[in-house]
Amino acid sequence: MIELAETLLEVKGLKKYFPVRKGILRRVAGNVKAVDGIDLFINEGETLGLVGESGCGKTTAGRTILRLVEPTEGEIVFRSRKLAGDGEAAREVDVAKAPSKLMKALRRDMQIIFQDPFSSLNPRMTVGAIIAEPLIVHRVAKRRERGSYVRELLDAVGLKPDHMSRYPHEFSGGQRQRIGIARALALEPQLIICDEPVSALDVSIQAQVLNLLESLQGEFGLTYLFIAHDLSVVKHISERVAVMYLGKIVELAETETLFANPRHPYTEALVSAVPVPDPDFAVERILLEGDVPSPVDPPSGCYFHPRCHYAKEICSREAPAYVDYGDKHFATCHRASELNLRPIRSEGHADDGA
Amino acid sequence: MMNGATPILDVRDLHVYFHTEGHVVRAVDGISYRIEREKTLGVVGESGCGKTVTGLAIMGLVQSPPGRIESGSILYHRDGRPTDLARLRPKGREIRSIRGNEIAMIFQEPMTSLNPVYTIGHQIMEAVILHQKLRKKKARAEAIRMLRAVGIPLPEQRVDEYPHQLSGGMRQRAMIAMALSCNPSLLIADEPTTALDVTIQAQVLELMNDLRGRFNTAIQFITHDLGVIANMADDVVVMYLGKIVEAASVKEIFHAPKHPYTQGLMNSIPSLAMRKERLEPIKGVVPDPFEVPTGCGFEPRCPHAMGICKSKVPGLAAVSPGHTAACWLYEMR
Repeated sequence: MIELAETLLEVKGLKKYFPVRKGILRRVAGNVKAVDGIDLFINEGETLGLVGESGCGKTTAGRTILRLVEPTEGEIVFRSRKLAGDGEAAREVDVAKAPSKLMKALRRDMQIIFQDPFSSLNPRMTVGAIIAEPLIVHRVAKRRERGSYVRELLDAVGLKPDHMSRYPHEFSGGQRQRIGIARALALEPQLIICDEPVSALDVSIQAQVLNLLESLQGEFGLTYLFIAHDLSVVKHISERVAVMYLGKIVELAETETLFANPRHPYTEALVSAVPVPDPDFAVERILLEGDVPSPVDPPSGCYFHPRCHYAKEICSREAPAYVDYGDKHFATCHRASELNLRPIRSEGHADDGA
Repeated sequence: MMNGATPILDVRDLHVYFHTEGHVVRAVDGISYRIEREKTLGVVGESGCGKTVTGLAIMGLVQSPPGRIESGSILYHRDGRPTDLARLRPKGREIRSIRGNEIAMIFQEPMTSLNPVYTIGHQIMEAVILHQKLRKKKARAEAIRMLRAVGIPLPEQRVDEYPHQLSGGMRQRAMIAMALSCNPSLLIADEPTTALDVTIQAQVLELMNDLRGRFNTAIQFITHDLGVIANMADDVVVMYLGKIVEAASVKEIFHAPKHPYTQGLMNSIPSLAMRKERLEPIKGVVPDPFEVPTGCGFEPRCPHAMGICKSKVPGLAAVSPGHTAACWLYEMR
């Protein structure tokens, strides 16, 4: 299934460093290596989950791919259908180097849904104006058609047409997130970057929004990069999952494989730390010591080695490479092939120990 | 411990209302529950269900005005005698001798609930000096001992640091150290790990489990995370719109949820342990607190709603031994 699909987005060696300036001369004293060389691809119609703890660079990665922040280095190859010339199905563009005019055209194909449904909608604009704004900016729909188009979009995300003239404060969190989704859909994009779209919502509402995202994906053939810290949510919605730690992807694999056969110790620990909503589910937690180190001054060698239970001498000395272990299962670990890491049991209960 | 039958806390028909311009919000609307000694009671619910206000009411920290404990009692059993916390003056001597001493609270946001201009040590020592009447030097030693107990590395050094110098997980540990410094018999933990990353959350939950055993503390654990509840609680109450809709042991709640709201919550969460093709969300949204339905609060969202649900509020009734639910589905039988 995945083999047949075409790659929509390919990211190669993407880096984003934020300079840290010090002293009166504001000299660059160091860099926050928010994204430190990541490689990934997303196939058309697929959902790639990007997980990691706060500060691992997942949001910056998403924003750099959209070029909402300028990449420091690397390529972001995007196959745009709207920019295709005659006889082409799509045109490959390097987003990282696109001049501003081309970039504006590309934005019609790449949209984003933000985490916070409260701060990402302008409180002084009506819902209709918020959703119509991208249409105006990109001169997509004529003035007369705009109203009916916005109504269609509201309908698609499960809101009512008469919500158009209301203001964001009149809506609940879940409804606001639907407005944000309608705005992202307005330009009929190919790729939507969902940056923690459900983490501010209550569980019952979270499920509604996740289901909506899934049905919209089928309806409009959307491709998602789904950024979240909640592994259960990511596991539910993604076909493949990438795990980030301190600006690097430590593991990337198909969802089932990642949870059944993790190859990176960080993935193993992360998965074991998630509380499972079942009192009989006995998971032996692998507790990581300490906190995530500072991205200004990451540890030598493998960034994870100070917290890793399997670390050997080589881990503090050399940075491991990002290696394909077959079946598009990538991991960044010196010991990936020798370790036998514990999977999450996918079904059934452990013996009743309590 | 001494008396297995008396719970540490016995809340009876508690009502906490907030009076705002012309409106009354019934944040807590007639709830009753007990916490047994050395047990952990999980309180689950979505935002606005009244779970935090319940905790604040026990501590005498409901801001008044606009909030007020309208009726009901919060019986706290100390030395075999019950004290009704709902009747105590919120700034009086008696509650002040209990608050932070016998009953302590951990808040969700470790950054906003620690004072940024005092060192961690100062803040722990304050409680110890006040309640245990220790001298400053001894209190400092005690603060260091507590910081070590909650797993903060280099406690002798950390004791003189300010909250901003600590990471989120460390701050939450410091909060726990502060809460446990007077060896409370009841700890109210209000979403203590919600602001933390999962690996740090795992550390803090492990720590709380460990300390619970060592300090014999009963815990009221407030959270919206069913995964955390499954790992921490002995008994669970589920709240919706200021009312308890279901109460049972943790196993019963997860394996045989009875109230449609509890069932809805279980069906709407993705789980790492199971594969669900599609989530089944609860339809609609939590009603506006100013316009609460007249009958069962869950009726507008309930898949099993019947005629009676619209007009009459169901009471908590036993569905099996030790398991109660407030739903007409079970009262009819």
